[in-house]
Amino acid sequence: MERINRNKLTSKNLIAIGIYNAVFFALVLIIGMIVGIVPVFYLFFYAIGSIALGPVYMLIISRSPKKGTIVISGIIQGLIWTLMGLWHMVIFTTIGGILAEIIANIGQYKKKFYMVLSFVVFILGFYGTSFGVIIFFSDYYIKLSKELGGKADYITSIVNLVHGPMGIVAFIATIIGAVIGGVFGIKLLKKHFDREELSYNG
Amino acid sequence: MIGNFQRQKSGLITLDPRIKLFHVVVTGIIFFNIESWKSMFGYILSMVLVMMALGVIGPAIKYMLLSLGLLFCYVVLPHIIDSQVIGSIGTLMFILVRFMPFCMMGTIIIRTVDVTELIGALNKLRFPRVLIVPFAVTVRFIPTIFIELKIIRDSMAIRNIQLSFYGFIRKPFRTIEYLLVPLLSRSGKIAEELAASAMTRAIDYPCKKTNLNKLYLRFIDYVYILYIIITGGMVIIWD
Amino acid sequence: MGLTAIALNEFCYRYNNIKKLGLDTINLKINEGECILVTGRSGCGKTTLTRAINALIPHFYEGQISGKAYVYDIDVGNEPIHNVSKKVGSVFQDPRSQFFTTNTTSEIAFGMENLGYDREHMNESIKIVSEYLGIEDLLNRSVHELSSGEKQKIAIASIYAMNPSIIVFDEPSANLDIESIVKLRGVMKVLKEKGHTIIIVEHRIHYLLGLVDRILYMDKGKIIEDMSEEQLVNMKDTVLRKKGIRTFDLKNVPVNVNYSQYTNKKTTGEKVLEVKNLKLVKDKKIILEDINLDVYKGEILGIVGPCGSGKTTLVKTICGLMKEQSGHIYINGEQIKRKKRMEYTYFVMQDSDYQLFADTVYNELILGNKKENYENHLIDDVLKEFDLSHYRDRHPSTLSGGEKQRLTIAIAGFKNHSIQFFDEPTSGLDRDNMERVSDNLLESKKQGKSIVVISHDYEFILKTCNRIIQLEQGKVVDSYQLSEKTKSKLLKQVKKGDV
Repeated sequence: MERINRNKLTSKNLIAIGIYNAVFFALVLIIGMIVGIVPVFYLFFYAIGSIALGPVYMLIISRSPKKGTIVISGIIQGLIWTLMGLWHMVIFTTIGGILAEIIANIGQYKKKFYMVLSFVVFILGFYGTSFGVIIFFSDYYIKLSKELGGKADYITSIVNLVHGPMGIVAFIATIIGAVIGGVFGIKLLKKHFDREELSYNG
Repeated sequence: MIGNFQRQKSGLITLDPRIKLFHVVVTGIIFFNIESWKSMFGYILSMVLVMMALGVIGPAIKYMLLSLGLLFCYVVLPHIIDSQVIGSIGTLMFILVRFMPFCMMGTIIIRTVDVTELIGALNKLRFPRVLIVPFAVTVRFIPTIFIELKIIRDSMAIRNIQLSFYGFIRKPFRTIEYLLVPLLSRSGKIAEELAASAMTRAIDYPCKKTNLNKLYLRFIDYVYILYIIITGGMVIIWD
Repeated sequence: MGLTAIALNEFCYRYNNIKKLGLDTINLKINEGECILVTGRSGCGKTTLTRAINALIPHFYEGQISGKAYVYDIDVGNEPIHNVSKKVGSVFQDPRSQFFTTNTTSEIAFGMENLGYDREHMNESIKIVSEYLGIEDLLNRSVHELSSGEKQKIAIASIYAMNPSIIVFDEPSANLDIESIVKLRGVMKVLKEKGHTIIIVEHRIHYLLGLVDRILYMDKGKIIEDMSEEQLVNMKDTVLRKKGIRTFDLKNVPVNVNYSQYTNKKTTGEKVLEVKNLKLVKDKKIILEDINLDVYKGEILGIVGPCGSGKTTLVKTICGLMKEQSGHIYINGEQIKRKKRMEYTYFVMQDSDYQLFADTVYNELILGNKKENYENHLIDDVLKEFDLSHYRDRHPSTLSGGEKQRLTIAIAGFKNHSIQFFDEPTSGLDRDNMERVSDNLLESKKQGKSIVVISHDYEFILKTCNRIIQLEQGKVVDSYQLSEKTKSKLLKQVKKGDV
């Protein structure tokens, strides 16, 4: 019988990565639909959503604690957004994925500190997309309103707010949210999912 | 619905999914670089034509009307009514126009690309197996997860577990826990069973996988490529 | 033919992390072309036996082998799964999780694509397979549109297209409705006629009457008996019961003799639930029309009917999970609007995995109940009644399928709703567990609860229900008291158009 390399991603791992990333994405969509009602909340989306995304992330790693899992997850998330037209996401999620992978690797995919840190970085990858988009559009907005000859001045001031203090607040909030989500994820994993698979019946 | 890749049966033409992906990338590059509303509208128009040719008529009309409406708010309205609010709304609407091509591309792909077709395209583009297998599974199961979530929501209601905004505010962790536990245990079960089914159908067999559906570029695809390049170029020049 | 297709010699298997042997000294020979039924209690090792044949052990479900398992001349224990899969095809229980793609034709081609067959060969195989299995109308469709029976057919087609000599079925009827089970039998018949070796693991064995050559009865990992169909048919029901085997010939199943004492006293005509002229439309299709039904206090009503006839939709509507277009629902004489219905009704869904939220069995029972409504010893009483006491502090996910099902019924037993609804509470359960569920429901009934059960489990219905309502295409087509005289009506429904 051939020697199985314990660190190679098996089909079982790949399929598990697939399913849990489907859950991850579905949750992103749903949370997005709920939070996105108020436009400003958009920046805080990942801060709030991490509480649900954290456990999923931890489960992905727990079911496939091997090199490549996180990078693949990042790329997949980005690719799905590409299918919806927003291909720039892939760049950010992949970078986030690579960095998150490195961190998780250092922690051998099980040390809690590194797992949480890995998740924070992963989420920041996503955050990079929305933040980048907001900044881009803010600049653009200001330019446009100048074209209109100052008819949009007072909203411009709100935009400036986003640029400055609000942006920083959102960034910090996202990190805090991700830390909370990551820790919650690990706790939930331990409470419910750390059992061996029990489909041996029969 | 995302992932519910239903082949549009009433298209005039069918196009290779790889070229559609190329279109997505080109759209992204172009649209971030043009500024005048005229060239934006021109590009949107070119996309509406593609949509209609592919048979996605309803959304094509909706997008057309939507972009006209949004542009109206920016271009015409502020000159008629002189007010801060109108001016702000106008520019906001115009920013939304910027999102349009992405959504349109998304609609084209979701409506006209079959999942299996997509996987075939990725295979041909030499994407590594470690990426294609999970990606295929993810895309395949996103709609299923939504269905599962709905069932879980019903189940929580029956058990008198609060799944509402207020419930979330009062006890965020508990609410998410109750939502995730059945979802993740179901997902785990599905993952295992799917893997067993795939393994016993030789997914690990070490040979070059064949594809039932032939994926090849036809004349119309080359026309499409040209079309994308020309419209893209024109729009940039016009700007 | 005489050629040995499968041979197991002194085969033992222990799963990692489980103390007891999954398979204990199995010595078995199966000849090419035989059709074998493997049955026994939950946990007896029948599924593990199939895994020894399709190589899922030891590679997928890891553990230790001793002894040898051969498929033709392949040593299964030492061969990668993909090589074995050329000779052994596997059909699993849940059609939902067997689909890799979203298109039926692509799914059928999946295995062949993996094996690198060329396009011509694949198209030819798809043509042959769809002809033999009668699925031409299911080709090139979206997987999401199909019923579970249709999905199962596609799953079988996918395996058949690889043309394995041996096909293993692991409880294939568990998630199917009556009509689909009949069609499943037809498919198995075709496969048998073509000379394939077929191994079927099942609890629900009645549909295999007349199809199987040998029956293996397993217990605690061993093959206890190896009998012919005749021997099984002639076995007395008391013996079957002791072994935990379900009835093979359904004509022999009696209506629950204890009924008389329940029917006379409790069915006093007091209506707990009244449904009048209910109509429900979804996606422009009429799902329910003109539904009129009553549920009396202290009765167990069975709702039967083919798949898609609207049974689950009806129950969901009564419970307030779905909205009706027109009609009225009265509970205890009062008309109750949709949102309030959940306070009076309780619904136990088919799949227990959607209904377990907590980290211990004890916590599961507490969940959703106000603290004043329960006291510590009350919960322990319930646990005792449902034989779950020793699981008190265990995580629900560690329970077996039958035990999880019991737990969901225990949770229902604990609730005080006057009407309780159960959707296929015995699907996939072996005899012991099926009878347990029946006893539990009868006990609830004794306590004054009214129960409505959706089921197509004939033995279970006969043991539990006193009245039947038959639905077809969203309408009530029949309603009768269950008795020795009327049970043939039900049997006909269950055996629809079959051998």
